[in-house]
Amino acid sequence: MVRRLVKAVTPGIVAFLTYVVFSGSIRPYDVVTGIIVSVIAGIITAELLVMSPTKALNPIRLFWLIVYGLYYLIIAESRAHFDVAKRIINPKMPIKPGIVRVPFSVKTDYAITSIANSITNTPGTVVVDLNTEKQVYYVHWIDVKAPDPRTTFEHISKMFERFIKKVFE
Amino acid sequence: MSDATIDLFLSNFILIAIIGTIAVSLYGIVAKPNLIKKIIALTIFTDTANVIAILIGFRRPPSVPPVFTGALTRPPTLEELRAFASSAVDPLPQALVLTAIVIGMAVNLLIIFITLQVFRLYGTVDMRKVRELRG
Amino acid sequence: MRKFLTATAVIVIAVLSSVAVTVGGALGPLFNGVRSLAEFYLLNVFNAHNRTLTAMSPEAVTSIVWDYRGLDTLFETVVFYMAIIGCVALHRGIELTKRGSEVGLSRIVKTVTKILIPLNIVVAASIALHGHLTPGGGFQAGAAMAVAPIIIIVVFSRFFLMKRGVTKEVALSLRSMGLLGIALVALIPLVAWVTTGSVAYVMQNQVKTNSSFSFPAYIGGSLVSGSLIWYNIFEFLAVTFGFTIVFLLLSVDEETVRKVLGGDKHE
Repeated sequence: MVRRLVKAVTPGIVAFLTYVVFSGSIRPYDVVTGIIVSVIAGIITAELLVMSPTKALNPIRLFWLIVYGLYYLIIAESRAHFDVAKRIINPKMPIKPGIVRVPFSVKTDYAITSIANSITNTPGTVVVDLNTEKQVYYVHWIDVKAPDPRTTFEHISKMFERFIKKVFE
Repeated sequence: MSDATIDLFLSNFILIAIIGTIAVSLYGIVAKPNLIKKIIALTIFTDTANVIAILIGFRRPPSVPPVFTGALTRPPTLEELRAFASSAVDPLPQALVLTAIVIGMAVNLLIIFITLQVFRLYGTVDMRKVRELRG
Repeated sequence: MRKFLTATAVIVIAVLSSVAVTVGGALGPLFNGVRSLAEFYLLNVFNAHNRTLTAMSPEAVTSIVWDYRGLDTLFETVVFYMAIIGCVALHRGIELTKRGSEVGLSRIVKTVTKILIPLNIVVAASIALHGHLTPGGGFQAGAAMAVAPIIIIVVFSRFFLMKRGVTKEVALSLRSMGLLGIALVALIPLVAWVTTGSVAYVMQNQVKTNSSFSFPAYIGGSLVSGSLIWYNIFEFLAVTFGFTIVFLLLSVDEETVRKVLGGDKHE
């Protein structure tokens, strides 16, 4: 029971922040009802969401998450947008689309999901499917440089995986 | 053009569009043999009727929603309330439509369930075929 | 021939009613101010200077739904209750098995869904708990909350939900608790009448001309609008689990249902 309460801390905090943002005010009424509701929501979803409470509350991981967010939104996104925009504007339209295998070496659900979502959210690459036994994503790539796993990993998910490992693994 | 002319034109235009939609959905309910299409026509009919109710309570802009926005910790003064009452849209049709939506949803659930059972029993939702099957 | 007749009848009805509402003005003047009844509601809904007519809530729609026209809503809740009872009755004899294949969608979808569930709960609860302050209320919150079971059923499977305790029986009893709560809040004024001896009416919220009973409009300095917040909370509970029951029943596989329904094979 205590373990479950500790696990409920992270989802509870996220739930409380969502409640306040959604309500759009921080009067005492919102704070009191928000705490009650987010405690309930946290306890209900604790077992589902959090595997290890120490990992979820580790500040170093949170720091790396913020660093990753900044890197992703500022560098990776703008590079991919710029690349795709160049291909669209170019009258010859230099695209070479195809579905390739991209290997990954992470284990946890969150890590797999964040890498997949990072790949999908950058323009030019979309995760179509994944195979957890073979540890590969099937990625639709706008400009297939080479279909072998090393090239695809190098070009698509190397930086994402480096950061995600520090955050979730 | 004056405001009254624009109002007259707009309201008549919207009303005729709504009645056209109602006519189409009525035709769907009566003439289509497929039960699922009948249900879709019925939901369109319900929603159009709700739009008429909301339209009756509408007020020419600048109008505000029927929610008093202001300090909640102290009771509002009479002037604030009068300003609110002279600019807000009619809340009564909205409350009635809320009720209608809830009941419509409940009824839809029930008839979808019945349709599902009809499909499971007869293997079809075409009323012409269901009518022919007996026992 | 029959289709032609139907179409003609519908067109005649449509043209006649178009003429009635446009040239005839059957709906009255549109866009041009509101009716006097609406002005009464708008002026009195939060009018603390006239306590006998007010609902002490800034939200006019919720006040009409649960205070001025409260009994209508009570019966509307009964209609909702009856519809769900009808669905349950249509499904009688069909067992909702607890065990089965839990394959579901891919791991990415499952993880994202897991993260969305607590956010869904708090957003729905926020709509319910702010029903007397901002647009929204018990039913809308319940409909928002019912998104959680339906995405769990689609993404994980029905068995995932049922293994964690959300079975048909639990949902039925929680929904009954919500309805019971609504009934209790409606009957509290009568209890007060019996115990204190001063007159009070069913579903009364604030004081009336010949009755001094009143739900507290403020609790600890925060506006709760008397009985409105309680109705919203209980309606939230009832609607959420009402929908959960229906989704659980809808997710039963065809073979199980056909076995119970019986009937001959169709060619």
